Amino acid sequence: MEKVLLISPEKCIGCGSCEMACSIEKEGEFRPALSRISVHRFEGGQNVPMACLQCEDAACMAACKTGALSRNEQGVVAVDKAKCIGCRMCVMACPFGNIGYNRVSRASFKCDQCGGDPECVKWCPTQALEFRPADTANLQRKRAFSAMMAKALEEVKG
Amino acid sequence: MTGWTGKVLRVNLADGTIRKEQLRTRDAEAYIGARGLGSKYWVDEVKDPMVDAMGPKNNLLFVTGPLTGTMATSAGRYEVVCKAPLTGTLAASNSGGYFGPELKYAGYDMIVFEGKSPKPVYLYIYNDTAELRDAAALWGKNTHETTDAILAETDPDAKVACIGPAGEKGVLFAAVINDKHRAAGRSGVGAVMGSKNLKAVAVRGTKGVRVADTAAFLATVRAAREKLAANPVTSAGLPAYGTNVLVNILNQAGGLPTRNFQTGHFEEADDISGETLSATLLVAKKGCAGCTSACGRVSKTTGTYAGSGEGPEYESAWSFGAACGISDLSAVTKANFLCNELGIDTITMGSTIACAMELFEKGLVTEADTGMDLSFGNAASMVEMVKKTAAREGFGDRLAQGSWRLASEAGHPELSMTTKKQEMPAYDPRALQGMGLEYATSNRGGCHVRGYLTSPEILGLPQKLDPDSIEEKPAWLKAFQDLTASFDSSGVCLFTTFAIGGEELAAQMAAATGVPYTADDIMKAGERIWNLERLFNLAAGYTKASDTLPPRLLNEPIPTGPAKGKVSRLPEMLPGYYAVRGWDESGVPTDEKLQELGLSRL
Amino acid sequence: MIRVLFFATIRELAHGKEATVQGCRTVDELFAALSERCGDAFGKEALEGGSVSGRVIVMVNGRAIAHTGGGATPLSDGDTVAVFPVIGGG
Repeated sequence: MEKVLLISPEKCIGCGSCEMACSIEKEGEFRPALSRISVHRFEGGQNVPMACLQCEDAACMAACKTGALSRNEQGVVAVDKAKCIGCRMCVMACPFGNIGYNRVSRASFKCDQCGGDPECVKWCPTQALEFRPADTANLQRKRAFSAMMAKALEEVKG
Repeated sequence: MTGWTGKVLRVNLADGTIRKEQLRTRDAEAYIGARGLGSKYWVDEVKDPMVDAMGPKNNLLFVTGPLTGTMATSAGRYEVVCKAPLTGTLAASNSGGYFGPELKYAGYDMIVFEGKSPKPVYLYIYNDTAELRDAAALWGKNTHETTDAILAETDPDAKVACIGPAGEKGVLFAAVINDKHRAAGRSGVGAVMGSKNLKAVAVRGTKGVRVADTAAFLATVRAAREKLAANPVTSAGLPAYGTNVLVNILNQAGGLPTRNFQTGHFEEADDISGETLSATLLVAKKGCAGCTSACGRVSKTTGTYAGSGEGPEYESAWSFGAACGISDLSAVTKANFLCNELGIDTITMGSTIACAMELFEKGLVTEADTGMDLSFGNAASMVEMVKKTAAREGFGDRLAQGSWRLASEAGHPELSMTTKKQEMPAYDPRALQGMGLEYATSNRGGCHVRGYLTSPEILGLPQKLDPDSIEEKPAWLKAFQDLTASFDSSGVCLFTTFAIGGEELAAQMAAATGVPYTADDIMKAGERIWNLERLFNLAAGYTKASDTLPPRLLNEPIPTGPAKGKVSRLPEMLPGYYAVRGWDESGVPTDEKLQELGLSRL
Repeated sequence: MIRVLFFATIRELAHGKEATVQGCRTVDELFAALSERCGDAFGKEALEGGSVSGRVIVMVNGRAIAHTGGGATPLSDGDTVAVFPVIGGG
């Protein structure tokens, strides 16, 4: 069953737990600069977490000339460090900026969904990040909105 | 080292030299970080508590805690430490936002600024590189303009702590503002920064913070977070209403100081409450780095007092609201926005205006002095006075010295609602006996937060105490003061203590630093820090005589409201407090107590 | 006549900022009457086993009932009762 990372920015409070959870898991230290997910905070109080969306038609994969980027069994686009030559074409290609480059390890880095149990999702205090089955991921958004409609209809009726 | 980075950045502003040095490990273990460690460094390096607070010898420190920047509970905090120009005590002002973690990610536990720069400068740190840059073009700008300008010429992801015109002009209660809307507010730390010609500190850090035992650390954090999630204050009340939810409960208890503490009940309290803020001016809630509560308020006002920013917090809504007899929340919020932009402590600002309003009411200052009607309730004048204070224009120049000097000049120091020259916030000691003891004994003067007995006395947390009772208050206050000192030194936000305590802090500290802290160690460290601050005050000339309250609170019963008829019974509590602290009858720590804590007299 | 004031989230549960109630001799009786009037959501939060729950802070004329006998605190005509959820700040 393939799952996707579902991001709900309206629930995000900008705490950065996701950045810390990701970096401690992947890098062994609390280091938002190397987190695969990052939170963007705006003056008006909006917060938007950004992480690899595992595009079906991945621009990063298309840009990579050494085959260092490929899709694994979970459907996730992953980096093979041994093949990465550090050209950073993938960084340029991703329209969302969701792939980074680490000068010390000399390889690109991106979200790999932690092998199927994403740490960021486990630590998000507001469920702004969820990991849900791909085929029905949008269903809960439909359900949430329909609940609002149902409530409005009840008020109008009454 | 883990938790701590082990590195200190030392900046000599007089000759421009910048050095990196090792953190003093033994002091770090004993004083933890932030408030405690910053105070210890100041005392050991400057030594003389009588130095001029506005002079070059007053070192200024920006200090994080070992947990700052980690995933510990709400661990985004840092402190600004120096000698306070407002009070002559040690200043250690706490702030949240994102600046503290960024300093850790750049690789530093603290920055020590020595001396005075010949010209306006700002410090820019990018990981291992640190340089002083010319700030001539920034001098005069408010904190928002300054922050935007610095981000444009350094890095859009840098974090900035700076002063506004108030700090530049030496307003005695000028604040350091970081991330535009968070304040290291009290005691005039911004004025010290201005006295050094230091406009801002900008930092960009892309390194990380390591902990000693990652698995154990994450387990302790998980357990502590569960407590925060189960607690109604941290999981529901604070996110929904922010701190301003306190206006109505203090008012119903008759302890909301109104019109410069003339009474404890404000008829229009609901108009400036968190409920009204949520319903009218609130745009979004906002949290500091690493915090799951998000008690911050993003708000917006329109019309006469149009503006946008964050806040107001409870003490700010009180100081511009009930203290001044003002019920216009837009005006109160605008005053709060201005204080953030101009770099001023909201509590002292509002309370000083309130004092001026009482002087005006009594004819001790007149319209010839003030240039406008300064009656209680005049919202437009209140907002105008905030601007004039930052600019030190007209009557604002007198307000800029704080209410104690203002009232003393007018011949009536008793009308200044201060202890040790710092304004007391939003809890009437006549209605909350414990808060009276806190105000009288707090090492930085009128401070509520370092011994927050309002929590048991009004909120019933962790236990319900009767606000009128006195016997148990000394012991409870010592416990609160000591625990708070440790939390303030760790980088963890004090508001977590509605749900967790010394046990959870010790567990997170131990797993992060590898030092086997227990809950007892945490309390002992806090007691050590408290006594160090006390020793400073004693050496700076403070005596038992200043462990007191304004005569109004000791002698004049609250005239109206639910707490009508009550006075503070401080004199009955003070001896018990000295005793439980292990001090003699003059409030001086005994040799035994100092030995126990590993302290020596200054 | 007893005047009851609601604050913070209690306002949503009680559908308003205040209410007046007659004929209740104790705080427990008052809350039972309010629960009837305001509905289930109020009752769930404010009552526990027929008495005032620990999820609310209740003051009678400014005194917390915790110090005056809890739910058994007597009420007289003209009293003001204030009801808060458990809140905090600083």
